[in-house]
Amino acid sequence: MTVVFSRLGRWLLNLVLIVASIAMVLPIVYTVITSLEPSSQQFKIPPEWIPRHLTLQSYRLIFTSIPFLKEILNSLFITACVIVGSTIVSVLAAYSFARLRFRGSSALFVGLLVALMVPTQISAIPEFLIIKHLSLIDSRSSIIIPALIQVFSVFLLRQHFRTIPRDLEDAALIDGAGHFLIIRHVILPLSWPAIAAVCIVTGQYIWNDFFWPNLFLSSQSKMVAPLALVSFSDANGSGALGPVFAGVSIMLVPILIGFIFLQRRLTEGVGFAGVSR
Amino acid sequence: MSSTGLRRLSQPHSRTAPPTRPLMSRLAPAVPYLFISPAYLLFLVFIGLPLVATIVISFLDWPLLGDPHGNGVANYTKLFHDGVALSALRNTFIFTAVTTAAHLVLALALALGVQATRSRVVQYITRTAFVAPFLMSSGVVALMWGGLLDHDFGPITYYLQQLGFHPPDFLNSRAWVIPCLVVVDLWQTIGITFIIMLVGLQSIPGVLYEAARVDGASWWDRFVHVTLPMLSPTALFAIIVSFIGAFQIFTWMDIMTDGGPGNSSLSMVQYVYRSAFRNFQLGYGSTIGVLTLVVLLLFTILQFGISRWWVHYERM
Repeated sequence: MTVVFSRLGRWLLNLVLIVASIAMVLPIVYTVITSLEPSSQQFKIPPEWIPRHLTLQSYRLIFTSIPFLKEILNSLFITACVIVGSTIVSVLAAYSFARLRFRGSSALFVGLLVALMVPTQISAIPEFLIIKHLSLIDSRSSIIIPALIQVFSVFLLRQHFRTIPRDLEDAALIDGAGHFLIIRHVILPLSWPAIAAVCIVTGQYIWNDFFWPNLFLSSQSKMVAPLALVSFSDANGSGALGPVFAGVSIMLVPILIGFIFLQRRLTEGVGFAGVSR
Repeated sequence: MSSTGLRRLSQPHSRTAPPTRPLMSRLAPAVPYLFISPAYLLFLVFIGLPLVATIVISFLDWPLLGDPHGNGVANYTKLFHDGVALSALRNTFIFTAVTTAAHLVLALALALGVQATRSRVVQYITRTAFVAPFLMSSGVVALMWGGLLDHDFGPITYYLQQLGFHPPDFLNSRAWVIPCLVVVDLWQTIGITFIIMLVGLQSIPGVLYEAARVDGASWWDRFVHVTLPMLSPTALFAIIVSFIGAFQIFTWMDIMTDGGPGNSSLSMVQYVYRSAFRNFQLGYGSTIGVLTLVVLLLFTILQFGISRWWVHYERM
C-alpha cells in the first residue's frame, strides 16, 4: 500500500521506526553490556550504558560453575540432527503429497494438517509415557526423535513443490529416472529457498525449546543450554544473573550468525506460509 | 541420464517383460506410501497416539508411580469444581485475547509503516530489530526479562521512578503480572506477525490501488476498501497462529512467575504440567489437557466461522 507522505511526514515515519527498532533491541543490548561488567558494577542503579571496566569474569563463572560448553554442544548436536532428519522426512512426504497420485492422499494430508491446530504440549503426559516406554527418558534421542516430524515443514514444502512445473519431471520420467533422481536433480535445486526457510524455522524452534527438555532430560551430561541456564538461575537466585546473562549472550551467537546469512530466506519463508492458501 | 534412457527405450525387450519386472516397478504402487511412511509413522506415534491417549487417561485415576484405575467422569466432576482450573482458564484466556489483539494491530501498523517508508536502510533495520527477539530461546528471554523487571535492581523500575512514577513490583503484583507477560510475549513474537503482514501487504496487486486512485479514492478509502479486504486472509492466518501459540503459553509463567503471585498467572498448560509432574496425578492432568484442547478447538472453529463474514477471498 503506497501511502504518499510529505517529506516531513516521511522523515517522522523513519524516526518513529528507528526509535521503535532501538527500543526493541535495547533489552538485548542491556543484557550483553551487563554480562561484560565486573560484578560490582552489574545492576547498578542508575544502569551504566557505557561501562568503564570490561571483564570476562561472568563468562568465566558460567563456564566453571556449570558444564556450559558441553551443554552448548549438546544443543548444537540435537538441533543439527533434527534439522537434517526432519528435512529428509518432510521432503519425502511433501514430494509424495505434491506429486504422486495414490488412494487416500488427500485424507492423509488433511489428517496431518489437523495436527497443526492441536497443540502438542497438551498431550505432554502420554508423550512422556511413550518416551518412557521406549526407554528414551534422559537421552538426547528423546528430544530428537519426536521432533523429526515437523508438520509445518511438510505443509510448506508440499505447497512449494506444487509450484514447480511438471514438464521437467515428465521429461526425466520418460528418461527412466526414479523418484530419488527426480527429487535430487529437479525438485531440490528449485526449492532451496523453501528448504532454507524450513531449516531455520525448525532449527530455531529446537535450539530454543525449553518445554520438552524440561520434561525428558535430567542428567547434567545430556542437558541443553537454555534449560541449563534456567536451572542455574533457579539454584542461585537473582545474585547469579551476571553469569546467566553471559550465557544468554553466548546463546545469541549462533542465532545471529544464522540470521545474518539467512535473513531474506527466513522472511520469504515465513511470509510464504502466511499467504499460501 | 538421457542417453541411457533413450537407449533403454529403443531396446525392444524392455517393454515386454511383465514376469521379470524390475523390483522398482513392482514396488511402484507402494512408492507414495513408502515416501510418506516415515512422516506418518512419527506423526501417529508422537502426535496422534498421545492425543487419543490424553482423552483416555483423562478418565483414569493414575498416580505417576502407581497403577491406573478407571475413574469414570470423576476427574471431570472435580475439574468443574476446581477454582484453580477456573483461574488458569481465565488467565490463559485474558493473556491470549490481549496478545492476539495487540499482535494484529501493532503488526499491521508496523507493516504499513515499513511499506510506506522509501528508505531501504530503515526497512532493513526495522525488519532485523523486530525479528531478532523471535530467534532467541524463550527460556533465555524469560530469564532476561525477569532481570529487567526485577523490582530491586531492574532498570525498568529505575527509569519509571526517574520519570516520577511509583512502579509496583511488576512480577509480584496480581494486577500487573499478566500485562507484563503480555509485553514479554509481544516483544518476542511480534516480528513473525509483522513479517506475515508485510508479505501479505506486498502481495496486493498495485493495479488495485491505481484503479482506486483513478476513481478518486482517498488514502482512507483505499485502506478500507482495498488493503483491508485483500489482507484479510493473511490476517485470519495471523490471528489463528498467534491464538493457538498464546493459548499454550507455558515458558513465561514457568520461569518468571511460577504461576504466582497466588495463582494469578497460572496458565492451562502449566496447570497440566503441575498436576501431572508435581502433584503426580496423570489422570487429572490429562483432564485439564482435554479441557484446554476442547476450548482451543471450539475457538478455532468459531474463528473460521466468523471469518466468513469478514475474510475476502479472491483468486487472481
